[in-house]
Amino acid sequence: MGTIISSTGVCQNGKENSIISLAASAGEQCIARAGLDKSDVDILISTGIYRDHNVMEPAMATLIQQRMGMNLRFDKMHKTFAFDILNGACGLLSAVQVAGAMLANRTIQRALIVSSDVHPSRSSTVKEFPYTSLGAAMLLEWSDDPAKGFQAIDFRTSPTKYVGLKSVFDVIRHGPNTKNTVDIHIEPDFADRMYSFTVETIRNLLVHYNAMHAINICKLKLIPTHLWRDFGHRITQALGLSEYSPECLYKKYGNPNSAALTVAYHEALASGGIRAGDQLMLLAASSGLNVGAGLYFA
Amino acid sequence: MKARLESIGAYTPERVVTTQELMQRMEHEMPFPIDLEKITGIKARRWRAEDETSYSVVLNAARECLKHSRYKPEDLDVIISTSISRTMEPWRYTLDPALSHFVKKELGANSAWHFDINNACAGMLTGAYLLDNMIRAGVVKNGMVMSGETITPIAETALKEISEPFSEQFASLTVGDAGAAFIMDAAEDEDEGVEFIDFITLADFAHLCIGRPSDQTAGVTMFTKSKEMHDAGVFDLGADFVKTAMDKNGSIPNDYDYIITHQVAVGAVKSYIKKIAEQYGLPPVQTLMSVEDYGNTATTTLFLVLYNALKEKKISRGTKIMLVALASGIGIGTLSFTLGSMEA
Repeated sequence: MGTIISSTGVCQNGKENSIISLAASAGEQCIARAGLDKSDVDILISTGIYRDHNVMEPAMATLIQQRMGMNLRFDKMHKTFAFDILNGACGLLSAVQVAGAMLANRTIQRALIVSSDVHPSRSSTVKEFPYTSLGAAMLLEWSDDPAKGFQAIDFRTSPTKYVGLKSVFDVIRHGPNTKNTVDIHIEPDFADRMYSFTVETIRNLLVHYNAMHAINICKLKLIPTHLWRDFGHRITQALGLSEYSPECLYKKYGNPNSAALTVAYHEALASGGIRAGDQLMLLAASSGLNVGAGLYFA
Repeated sequence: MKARLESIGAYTPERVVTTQELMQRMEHEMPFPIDLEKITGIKARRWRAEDETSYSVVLNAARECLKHSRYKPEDLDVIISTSISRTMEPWRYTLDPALSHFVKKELGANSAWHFDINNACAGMLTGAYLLDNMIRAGVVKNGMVMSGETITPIAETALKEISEPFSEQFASLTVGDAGAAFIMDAAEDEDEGVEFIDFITLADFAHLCIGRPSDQTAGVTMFTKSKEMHDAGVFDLGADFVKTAMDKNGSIPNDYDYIITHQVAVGAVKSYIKKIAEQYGLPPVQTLMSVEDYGNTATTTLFLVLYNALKEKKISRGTKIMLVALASGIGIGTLSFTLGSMEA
């Protein structure tokens, strides 16, 4: 038994190019696909690490909740609690872990996780911004079926000080225009070092999962975040895994950062790459270096 | 199985800035004198040193917490950072990696997972809610929730930019800098631990308090639509939600030795405490405050109050406490717990 993904949604062209708009649209799509009403959502988590105009408070999730018109006031029957969880591209898995604990305890029945990273200026033409603007959403519920859902979620951080990518907004440097800026520094060897750490981490995790969860490594399907065009492909080749994550995913979506894992799962499902009974490893890689992995039985 | 607060720490910068001193630094003259100390009850706040950042402040708080804990950093399962102001260098706000990533490395919590929460001033109590669930579900055995706020930059901007008495930046003059941290784990016996936690977001009001970089000067600002919040009856809505949570869990205000709320201003705290009890036809329950001497320290207020109360021996094993968060969003949270052996 475990947390199951009961629906997903992706929005590439919102009413406006903003985190709030794209995440809200993806969330609405996801809820509609599940045949539910937005008032059914108990927890709304936003995992986007960028913010429209670098707004520091309130949580982006509360502004997304407002845009979605979701339980805006307390009617004693329904309520939603919204907050942000931030952990780079691994944030989706952190949110699933937290929501999963709340579902397991029956604290909540449904959690909606939305993700979107847009340049703070809300412009879609900033060359230095390495991410694709889109919104993605994932609805989580609980299943008592022991053969379904997330069986494990793990994270590893590399032990060195090397971070690979650092992103800040700098008030002194940009003055009154800070609300429209972000400074991202990427080390020249980030891709190679991220790839090496990811392979090492997953290799160790597979040994552990094999022992604990009776997985069939030959049939395990990798669903990775696509940091670069060939990232997923290189990982699956190195580990001898079966990939459902073809390079055309990067061609279609680029790298949507915090939304990447939801998009990868959504696309895999939409194109028939995931069937009931499949064993999946959802894999996120992020600066730090940080790797997150979720073992999921479809 | 219940989770409990196992240990706690807090840190406040050395420099004291009184409200009187602060008001003398306003750049634009007001048409009439504004006695902010009288209006808010805030006599002083702590102000970061030039080289202090949210990162250095949170590390101080975390280390103070660890001094009182049975756990060493390498024993911790998860580090949750909840700062609104996420500076590692003055004036540079970190977005990626998460601040918790850097904190866990610096502390030596090498086995811990990590993530940041952003939920405005309700951040630390949100962290307690999530960690309580993670412990009870067996996802982790323990974890540390922390926050470091160097938030006085919004006061600096307000001093430059406020040009009329009804400016939406006035609330920025009430803030102070501080760090706090607590560790949670499984309660050792029935007489201690968290009885319930509940939270709601009244997103209809999400736009009423916004913190962001200034578009007039080099700085960060906070705009609070105080009149709209007052007209919306935000404190009444908060008290109503607290009552719903208490009713659901079979408690009444008189069960508590103290009810401690987010520290906005003295009058607001007293009014909120009064409203919570009035719903039951009861007189206000005792409360504790930090706002008079430290101002509104954002995410850290509730835990700064707790830490100080423990140090001053106002609370001890067996004290039953309710913490109430109120934050931009608008997020309202309530945590009911009985103190165990935690000391400061």
